[in-house]
Amino acid sequence: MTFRAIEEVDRYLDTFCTKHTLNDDLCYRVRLVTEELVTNIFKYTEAQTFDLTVRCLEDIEIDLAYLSNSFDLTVRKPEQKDLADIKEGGLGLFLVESMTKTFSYRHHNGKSIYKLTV
Amino acid sequence: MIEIHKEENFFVVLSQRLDAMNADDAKETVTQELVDIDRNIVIDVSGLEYISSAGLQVVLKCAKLAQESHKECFLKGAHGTVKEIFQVSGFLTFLKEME
Repeated sequence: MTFRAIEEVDRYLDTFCTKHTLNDDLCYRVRLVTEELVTNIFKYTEAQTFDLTVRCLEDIEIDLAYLSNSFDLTVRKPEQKDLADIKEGGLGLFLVESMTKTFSYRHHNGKSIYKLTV
Repeated sequence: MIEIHKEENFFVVLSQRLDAMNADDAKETVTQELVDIDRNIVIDVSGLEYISSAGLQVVLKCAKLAQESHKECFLKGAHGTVKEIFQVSGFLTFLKEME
């Protein structure tokens, strides 16, 4: 399910980037932050589906929502001090926070809703 | 995609995309090929167009395998947004960049 969802997101974002003639760097960022969140949704929540909306305004705005309890994926990665301390996993959200201008989360009407700008 | 060449170093050549779709296979490959190594590892990303956190786990595995064998791990050819990903993730603190 995860791979198929990522493939669908990739196709959707390819079309979006082409339609709005986004440069390679911006397209990379949009793809990365979306892929990281979608991967985490399927890895760490019970959600089977999600709603994705991407808008091209002054910035690229991304809304991602899925049915869930109030579990918040936006937990920061602990500071890495040493190679041996770096645990496998946990980097995805750190990259999302690093590669976005804004990144917010709220829980409303049984949905977890993420809003990002790139 | 991943290729591993044994020369004066082990060259791990990553190309195209390394993401959640193919990272597990790539990680399995390095785990099988880079155990008890007798030379350093050079990760060549000059042909890599996209890497996500899943792909970074493959690089991290290479670095850990090098460390376990008391060898060094180098990064070669990082450019553009791929290089930025290595920078912001902190990987350039333990990967030495090679020209």
